[in-house]
Amino acid sequence: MTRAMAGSGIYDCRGSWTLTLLLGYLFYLLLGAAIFQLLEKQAEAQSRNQFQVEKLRFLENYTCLDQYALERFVQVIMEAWDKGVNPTGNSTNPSNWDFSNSFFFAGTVVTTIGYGNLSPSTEAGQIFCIFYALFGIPLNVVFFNHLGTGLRSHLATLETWGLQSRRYQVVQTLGLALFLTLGTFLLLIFPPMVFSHVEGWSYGEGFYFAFITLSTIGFGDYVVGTDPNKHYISVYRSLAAVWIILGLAWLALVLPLGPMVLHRLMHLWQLSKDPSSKKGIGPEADGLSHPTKLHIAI
Amino acid sequence: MFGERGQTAPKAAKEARDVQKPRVRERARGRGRHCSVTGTPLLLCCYLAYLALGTSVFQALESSAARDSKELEPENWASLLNYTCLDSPALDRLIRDIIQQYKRGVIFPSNTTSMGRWELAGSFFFSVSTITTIGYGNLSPQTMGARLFCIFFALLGIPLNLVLLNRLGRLMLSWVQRWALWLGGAQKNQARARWYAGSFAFFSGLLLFFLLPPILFSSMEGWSYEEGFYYSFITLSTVGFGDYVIGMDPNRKYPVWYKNIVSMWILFGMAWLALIINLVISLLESSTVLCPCSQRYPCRTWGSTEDTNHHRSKIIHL
Repeated sequence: MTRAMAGSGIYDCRGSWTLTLLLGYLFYLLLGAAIFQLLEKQAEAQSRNQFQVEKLRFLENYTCLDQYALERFVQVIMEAWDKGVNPTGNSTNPSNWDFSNSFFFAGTVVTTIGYGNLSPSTEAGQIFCIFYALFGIPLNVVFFNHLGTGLRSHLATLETWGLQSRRYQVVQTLGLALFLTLGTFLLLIFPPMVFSHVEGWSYGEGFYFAFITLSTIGFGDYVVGTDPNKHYISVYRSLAAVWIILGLAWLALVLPLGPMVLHRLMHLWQLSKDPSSKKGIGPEADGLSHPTKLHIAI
Repeated sequence: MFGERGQTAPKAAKEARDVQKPRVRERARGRGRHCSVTGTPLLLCCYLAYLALGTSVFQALESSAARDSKELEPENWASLLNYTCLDSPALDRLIRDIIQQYKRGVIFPSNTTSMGRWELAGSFFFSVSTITTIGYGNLSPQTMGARLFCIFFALLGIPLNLVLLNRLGRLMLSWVQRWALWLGGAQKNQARARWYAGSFAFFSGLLLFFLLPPILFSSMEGWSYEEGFYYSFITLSTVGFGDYVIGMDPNRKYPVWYKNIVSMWILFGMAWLALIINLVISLLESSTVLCPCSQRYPCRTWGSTEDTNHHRSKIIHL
């Protein structure tokens, strides 16, 4: 993910810019959800109906079944699975392209996760997907960058930290460490447990799913909300999308902040062992106060 | 020491600093360029070695499990044949079994190529798709050991990938800048030379990474141009659905150089795309239209970005 860390001093401007960015980001996701739904739902219904027809034909012929027919049937099953149709379901299952699921899909495109269990099959859907991602991915990157840098500079009080009293430094650093640990537990450890429970996975599988999702790899072998035998609440996948965005934002915050907090803690511990040391921890040694432009790729 | 020339101490010190500054910057720039010359092949070697490690481990962990399952296959088919007098629940059970075997990679559509299984080519491609975060998913680890290894592999591999792409991007940027400088000397107009160089780099990259590969794919894979373009974009942006993957058609013969060329294309294409997006974002952030406070941000021209990068790379060791 591209990290463009701009100046940290102007919080007011950054605040209003962040809000605008947040609203724009949400609006973009909703727009994508609506359009994907529009483009894909009909084609999906057609695929489902076609598969039901195949199944009926198979049932009619089963008394004279031979291996070749069975193999052909197996091919049909696998093709349907690749298209995102779950063959064990029937046409009355909730559509993969209703609004909540399209929102989830739009989120996975923009965050570059791209599970692939569901992907646009119509040509129009594919072309729209390209343009949607073309604008959505930079938007996503800028959004997370601003969120990260804004929160970071606010939390870490970079320039003024070295000038505070020793006790203030200790309290602030410990408080920050506690906040980071609590947030990590709430956003990175707890939700996989919830997903494992709802989906019937083991905790290891849930954690594997969470890792593959939040690293934006997104294989698609485990995706929440795809079991046709379970009854999910209608906003389940939307909530999952919200979790993904919060998790990614948290990672954008914690990954640079964590080492900095550790660095400060080590420094304070060193000072506590040798209180006569005059060496202060200036903002330069923190490594974060000087905004850096890192050409890190997506 | 500074008072020897009869000047006041602060003024002399400032003069001395001013004299030293260009030298420091020269040294930093020189060191930076030296780093970017020798560091890049080393980084590339590290990257390839890391991919090779992942390839061998995944192959070791997964192919044996798949082979064990494949040994049961004749029995599987025999038991499936018992289902010849099926009713609806039995049909559903059959379908569930088929899907389970398909997800575990035991049965394949027709006869997949080696890219679709845990052979050398498939494992390598899987490693690439993991650390670039593309994550096609046409092949994914089923054993617990492979999954655990995948997590740690990605934890180290993704930063490594980012560092490499960062370096490649800077390399390409330096080529463009050097060319702009040469152009500027010939044209005697630096700003316009930069624009020319930038546009040329942008359009040639667009051609090379987005507009020409779909032609290759349509001849090699039999996709339409639109599908090839869709595949190129979804891959280079690392979304990676996996609905289209190269080298998966068992009815085609792929030349040996095909997969290597595609891997190179993925690497350089991703670096180029990241560079373009970086430039666009920096343009957006320095534009006064979008953020009125941008006068206080450092001016982001190409030259100063290079300088600030070399200076700040001392602090952030990336």
